[in-house]
Parts: sequence; structure tokens; C-alpha cells
Amino acid sequence: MSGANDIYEIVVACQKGERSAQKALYELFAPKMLGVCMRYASNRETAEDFLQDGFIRVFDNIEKFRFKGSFEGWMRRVIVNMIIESFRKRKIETELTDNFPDGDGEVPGEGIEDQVPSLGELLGLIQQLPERYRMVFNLYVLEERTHEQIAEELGISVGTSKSNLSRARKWLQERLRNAKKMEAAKI
Amino acid sequence: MMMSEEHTDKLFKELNRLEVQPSDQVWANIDARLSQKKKRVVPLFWRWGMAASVLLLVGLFLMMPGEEVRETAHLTGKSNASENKELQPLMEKPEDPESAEEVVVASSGSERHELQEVSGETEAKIEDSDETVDAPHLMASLSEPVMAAEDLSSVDEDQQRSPLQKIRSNTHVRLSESSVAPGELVKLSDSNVPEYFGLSLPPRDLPEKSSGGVVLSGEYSPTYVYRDVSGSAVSGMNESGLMTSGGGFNVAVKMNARWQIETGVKYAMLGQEVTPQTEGRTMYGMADFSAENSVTLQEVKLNNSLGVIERDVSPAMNSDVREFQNASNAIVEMKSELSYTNESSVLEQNISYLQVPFTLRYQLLQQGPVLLSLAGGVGANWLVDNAAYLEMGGQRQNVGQTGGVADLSFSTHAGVAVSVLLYRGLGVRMEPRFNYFLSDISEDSPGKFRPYSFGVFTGLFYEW
Repeated sequence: MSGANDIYEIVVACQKGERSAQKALYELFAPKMLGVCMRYASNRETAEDFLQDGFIRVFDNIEKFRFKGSFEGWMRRVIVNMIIESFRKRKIETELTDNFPDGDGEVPGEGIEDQVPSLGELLGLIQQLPERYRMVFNLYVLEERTHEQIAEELGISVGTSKSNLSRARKWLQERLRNAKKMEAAKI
Repeated sequence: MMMSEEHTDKLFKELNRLEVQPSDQVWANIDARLSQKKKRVVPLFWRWGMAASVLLLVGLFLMMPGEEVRETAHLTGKSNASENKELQPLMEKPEDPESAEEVVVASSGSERHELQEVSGETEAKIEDSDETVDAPHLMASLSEPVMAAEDLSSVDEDQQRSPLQKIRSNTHVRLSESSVAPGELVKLSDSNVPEYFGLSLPPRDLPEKSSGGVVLSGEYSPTYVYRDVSGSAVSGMNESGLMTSGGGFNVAVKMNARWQIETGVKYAMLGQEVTPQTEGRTMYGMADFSAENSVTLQEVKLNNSLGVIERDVSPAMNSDVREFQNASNAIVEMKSELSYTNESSVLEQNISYLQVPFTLRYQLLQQGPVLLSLAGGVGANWLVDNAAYLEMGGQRQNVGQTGGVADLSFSTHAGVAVSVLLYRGLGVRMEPRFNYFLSDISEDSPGKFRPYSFGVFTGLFYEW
């Protein structure tokens, strides 16, 4: 893993627009950032689109990075904000299609081997959430934003944000419980 | 049993560790888009400049008088063979050349008599006379239902006028507003007169007051400022533009229906943001070489393309470094090892001017209460404030001022304004405007430093 000085030098070179540095930065952070994008998308293809647009946004704005705080954190915020903007543009469509899938289906992933689900299984569950619920859950639980911030960013009320989170959590808990039951039945 | 909210959240927080290798196509697409962007980078002010140029050209095209003169000649009966050929295909009854020329009619029987006399003399008179026909007057008469017949003077006064004057004063046509479209051939029927024809022209919405009116306005805009550097300016600095704000008051005098001249007082803040190279040195007191007793001196370069930031107080004397404070009564020797530091610093140079602009404004067109105008001019700028701020380690402090900034500079500006009349003379105006300094504002810097700025100025105006 590159040290802080290496990242500093790469970022400085990126600020000058050097393509080799841009590629180095991409190779350094793309797997982690695709991990973030996968949580906000329903499939890999959409996640890669997010990643692509997100990196373009990062390179467009990298000169604004003032080396305060971690670069990875800054980059992640830029990409997540881009995803939020993309969601807001599609808001009308998503509101009409916010239906939860049937709760009795199998949990996707590689199969449950113990009581702690794998990252693949957790990702599979989160990807099944309707888009707005997925956004709220991600922003609250994984980005640690407040309901007020989420409401402002997504253009919804604080109450809607809270109820979406509650419903998303409940659905996820139910799916995890079903998965455990199915595993127990196999044993 | 349902698991707790905390437990669920903790479980899903594990997804923060998720890493997924993207396909090769993602970087290929990013690479292609970055290359595309690099090729078509056009500075924002050029884009606005180009847009303003296009609008200016369109405006000039609309101002071209050629078309109006030709149409007017048809309408007033000043005919020659080629012009009649152009007009004739539009006529329903071109058989009588006189009737084709008599496109101007009055609305009552008495006036008709007078006009027949006028039209009989008009052709010869106009051809002989140096006077030109008042084209806008006639066009306005034909395109708007002007009720001038009631204002006719007595017959005696009327007889003393020249035929041309009669045309000017009496040749108003009653046309139904709703039934006539611009460019449409109009057949004027009256049971008492032969059939006449007129060509309806597009309405020319000229402002009501043609000259002498006064317009007062106030405006404000967030403004993006940056600079154009040339010559032997300091390079290698990471300099960027600033978001500031500006505004002021204007007074304008109408020269005629289209042109206004404006002046006023405006406040404008210019400057730039610099990320300078920062060096750190770890220093040790002579008596104690332990890390706890060391300090790091930060050295921030203060020269950039705008000039050198001057400090009133020596940083060493002003420092809270214990060794420096003890230097007056102790031997202080310092060991140092040069190192670059990751701690970034940002210098912000603000330069404020009071601007007295001289602006010419051309009113391009008006649709109802909405008016589009082009503005351009020059301005004299007096320096009123000069400050530099250093932001480092989360603290922002005034560190002095930029040296060698000229007290007086000159600039030029151009904009396109949309004004909307709200109530009587009161209205709002929005004007995207570009401002560029014609003179180098820094007398001491080795290169030429000319700021430019762009803002969308909005404000109120009142027109008398």
C-alpha cells in the first residue's frame, strides 16, 4: 500500500493534470470506491457507471483538495455526492417504483456458511432495497449522516427519511432472519 | 427474535470494507472522457464572450435599415419600376398602377378627399424633394391602429401644408388589430372608395419615451474573479480564482429610443487564491535535542504572479517559538533538517476597487414588459482595500497586503441584460456581465496581471 507521501505526490501531480498520475490514483482507489458504488447501485453495471462518473468528478475538482484530512475520505464524499445528485435527477421515476421485493426469497450471495453473513450476502441484500430506501440506509448507516442532512440532500422530509430507514432496516432484518431459518433447515 | 437496530447497523457497516475490482473498460472510458475534455477546454469567459458577440451581431443585423426603407417606399407611393415589380405579385388587383400606389387611406369621407389629393401629388413631390419620408412614422401608423383622424387641424391649416406633411400627419390607417398579421397583405374595403391595399409590417415595440428619461438602478452579484497573466510572471504556483461579490448604483440617461448612457459607482473585489509551496524545518534548542523540545518552522513562499505579499511585522519577532523569544538573552543555535510538509496552506489575496463605469446601453428589443439590451463600456477603478490572508492549520489570519498594486486601473465590460417592467417605471434587471482589466494592476510584479470577472448582476431599476 502506498504511503501518505506517495498519495500526496500523486494528488499534486493529478492537480497538474498528469494522466499517468490520474491512472495511478485510479488504480489505487478504484476497488475501494467501486465497493462504495456497489452499495448504492442495484447491479454491477450501474455501479461501474457511478464509478466512472465519480472519478471524472474527482479529477475535475481535485485542485480543490487542500490536503486537510484524508484524501480517501474527500474522494468518497465527492463520489457519494455525485450519486446523490444522480438520484435526485431520477427522483420522480424512483418514487413510482419503490416496491419492496418479496421477503421470502433467498438471500443472494455465495451461501450462508455461518451465522455471520458474508460481505457478498450483505451487499446482495442492500442491492435489493428499492432505490430511495437504499440511499437513506447507506447515507445513515454507512456514511453516518443525520436525518436532517439526508432530507436536505435527497429533497425529502426528515420524517420520510426516518420512516424509510426504519422500513429498510425492518426488511433487511426479516431477510436475514429468513436466511438463518433456511440455513437451519438445511442442517 | 428480531435483532436490534444497532446490531443490524453494525453488521452492514462491514460493507465499508468491501472492495471490488472494476473491469478494464471503466478506466478506458474515463481515459477517453478526460482526453475529450482536455481538447475542448474553453475558458468560461471566452464562451460568454462568444455568446455576447453572437447577440451583438444579431442586434446589428436587426438594426440594418435596408429592409425598412424599401418597404416604406412601397407604402408611400414612391415607386420605380423594380420596386413595383416586387410589390405587384402581392396585389390582388394590380391592373391600376394608381390604386397600387394608393395604399394610404383615411377613415372618413372628408379625409378621403384630402388624401386623394395627396396621393395624386405625392409621387412627383417625393421624387423632386430632398426630404425623405418619415419611414418609422408611417410604419408605426400602419402597424398600430393609431386614431389620428380626430386630431386633424382645420381645413385652412391643412391647405397650407405640403403634400408630404399631409402624408405625415394624416395618413393613419384604421386596421383591426386582431385581424392583421405581420407581413400580411391587407385589403381595405370601404363602400365609398375604391379598394385599397396595404402591407402590414411587424410591430416595432419602441420604448414610449424616446429621449431625456432617467433610469436609476441598483445591482448586486456573486462574482467569479480570476486573472490573465503574461510576460515573466512567477510560474509553478498553484493559483486559482475566487468567488467574491460586487454591486453598486447606476444612473442612466436616455439619448433616444434605443440608446442610453450610464454611469455610477460600483464596488468590486478581485484577487486570487494561491496554494504556495510550504517547507517545514524541525529545529532543536542547543541544550536539549529531544523531540519534545523541537519545533517546526513553516516557511510559506509569499511571492506569486500578482506580486509579493508584504508583512508589517517580521514573522520571527512575532513568533511564539520559545527559542526566538529567548534569543535576546540566550544563545540559540538550531539544528535543522529540511523537509517538505504535508500541511497545506492557502493564501488569499483580496483587492477591492471602487469603479466608475461609463456604459453605453442599446435596447435591442421589447416584448411586452420584457426588454433585452446590450451594454458595453469602460471603467476607472480606484483601489480602496488590499489584504492578504493565510489559511493554515485550520486558522485564517491577515498576513499583510499584496505589494505594488496600482491605485488606479482601467477596465472594460460587456453584458446582456433582460429587464422586466413590474409596475409603472419600476422593474427588475438581470445582466450577465464580463469585466476585464485593460491595464496591468500590479506595478511591481514581473509579468502582467490583468484580472477578469464574471457575474450575473440582478437588481431593481426605476425609470422616469
